[in-house]
Amino acid sequence: MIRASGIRKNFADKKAINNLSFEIDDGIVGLVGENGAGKSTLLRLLSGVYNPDEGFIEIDGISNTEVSSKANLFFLPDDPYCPNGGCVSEIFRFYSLFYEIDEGIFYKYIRSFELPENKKVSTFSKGMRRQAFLSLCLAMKIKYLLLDEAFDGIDPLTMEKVKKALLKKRQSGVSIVIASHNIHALDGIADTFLLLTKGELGASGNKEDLSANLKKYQVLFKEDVTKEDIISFGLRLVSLKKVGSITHLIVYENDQAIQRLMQAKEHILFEPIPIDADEILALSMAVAKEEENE
Amino acid sequence: MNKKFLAYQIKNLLPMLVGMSIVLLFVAFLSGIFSDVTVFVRTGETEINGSALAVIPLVIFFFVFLFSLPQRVLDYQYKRQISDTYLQIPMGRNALRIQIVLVPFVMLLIGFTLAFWAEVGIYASRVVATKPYLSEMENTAVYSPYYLGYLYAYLHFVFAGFCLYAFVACMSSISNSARSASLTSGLGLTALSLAPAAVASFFNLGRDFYSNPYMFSGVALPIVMQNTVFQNIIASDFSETIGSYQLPIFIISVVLAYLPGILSVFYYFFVSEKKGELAGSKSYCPWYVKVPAFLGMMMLIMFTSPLFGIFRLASGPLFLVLTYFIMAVYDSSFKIDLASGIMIGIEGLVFITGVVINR
Repeated sequence: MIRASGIRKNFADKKAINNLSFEIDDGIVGLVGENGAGKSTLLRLLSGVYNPDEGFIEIDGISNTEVSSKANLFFLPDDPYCPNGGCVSEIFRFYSLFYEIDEGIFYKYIRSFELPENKKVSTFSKGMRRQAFLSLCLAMKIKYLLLDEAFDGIDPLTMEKVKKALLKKRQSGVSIVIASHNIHALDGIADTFLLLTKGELGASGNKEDLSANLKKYQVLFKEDVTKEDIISFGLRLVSLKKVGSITHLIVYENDQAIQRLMQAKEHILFEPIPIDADEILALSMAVAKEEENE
Repeated sequence: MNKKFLAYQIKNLLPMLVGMSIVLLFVAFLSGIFSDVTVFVRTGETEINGSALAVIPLVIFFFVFLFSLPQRVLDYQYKRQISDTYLQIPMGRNALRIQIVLVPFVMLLIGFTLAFWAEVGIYASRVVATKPYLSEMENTAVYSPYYLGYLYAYLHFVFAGFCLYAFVACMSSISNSARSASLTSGLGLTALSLAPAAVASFFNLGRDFYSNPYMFSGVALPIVMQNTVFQNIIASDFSETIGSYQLPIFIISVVLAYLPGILSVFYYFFVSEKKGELAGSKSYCPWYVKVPAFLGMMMLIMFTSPLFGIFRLASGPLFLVLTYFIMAVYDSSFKIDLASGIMIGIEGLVFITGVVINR
């Protein structure tokens, strides 16, 4: 289990991570947030690249700065580096000095991604470079894997391959944290989510937890309805979107208030509809931001 | 120490360090062949004639290589991409830093040691070959104590080289790029070479001190000093050249040549380790480094400006420009922060004060 308690990290005057506490156990965790929310900083803190200014991080009860903890965890940064400007074999050669890596699996994925083995990794496109390092991650015998923007630059077909491989890795008992600003990329793979807003934990839980209090309705009003109208009925509005003449309304659950609104405003159509994963996360982030502003 | 990483490091460093060692061996061979074999002779009670240390060109090359190495081996701290790789590997942070810096030093030291003793060997064989043609008075170099002098010189150069290496490693570990590392190291060494004169001026030790070569030799002090000390070891009288009036200069120079190297070791391990975390971002320079550095510059301005004669007025602005340049190089930006700007302003005021006081 990865346990972070009260961690803070500042750079000059900027608070990158502010009093963050959480636990990561099994499964795949989606770490989501806008650009600059502190996702990469958090991964660097977890992997020991950064030391927190305050608080502590433990991996299975041992400080993450201890060599034994570091040996159980691998962090794949957004822009990974191949030592000595070498080929994919150099990636294997360097990392096998410190980690137990299955060479057969590594080259199996390299070939499966159709990566050139004799070309320098520095000449690869960003997506290819990422695939080379994902091959490494998938071949490592470790307990925790931290991936920063794991799917950036990867085509949809390869992305599906990678997702399948990561799910397989999860089944073998590896806990995976994937940081992404693209919530869609985590759909169907992340079991739980951590939402970061300006270095603070906005919300956490699985999709159901995050959407527990939210309701989405599609309504066809006879007359225009404004945000103020909806709020005046005691509803806590999260989102109001108009698609043609249909209004999509997302509010915190309040059955009585929504009934009062529908009685007061003439409408042709009123029906509750499900909220998709993207929306839940985007809304949770927006709500967290709103609460922070309040 | 991670043995697998050690083997990997040695393999990667081998081409560069073998190249450097070949250069050292080549220099050793040439200076061993072409140096003067006139041996040390005592012609009277105090007079000493004799050749210089034959290994000086070799030591100069050794020092140049030592200066250039740390910037290369610490380059992982300058790029976010590389520091992410190095700082997460399962090794203690200080263990990693020790290994990264120490291994190339030891490898170069092996090359230097081979070259040094090869040159002494070449030199000694030439002396022995010349023996039949020398008078009894002239063949001091044939005796073993002469070569004990070389052993002493070797140990001294190794220690001095380590101090230089530690200082440059320390400067490199707080710099933002290999370029800024070499410039700040170079400027730092220049400032150190001026520091003994400033100290002597502060204590009002007199103008004799300013003409002494020890004063401005800075990091080259071991080379300047070694020849004299070496000759005196043979003559068994250290005080003959290092006279009593020169002793304070000698002490100041030695302290200012070696102390920064020793302090750098502590700074490198206990303070500058944070720099790797800030790779790719702006500078990391805590106040307890910045303030003494500026105070040091101020001291240099105040107490060395009288030494420059008609250039006295120019020396102040020169130092201000130098300070600004150091800050700009260090921060990788010509837009320096407000705090540094204020410090440079204070330096200006100190310069004016220095000029007024020294009138």
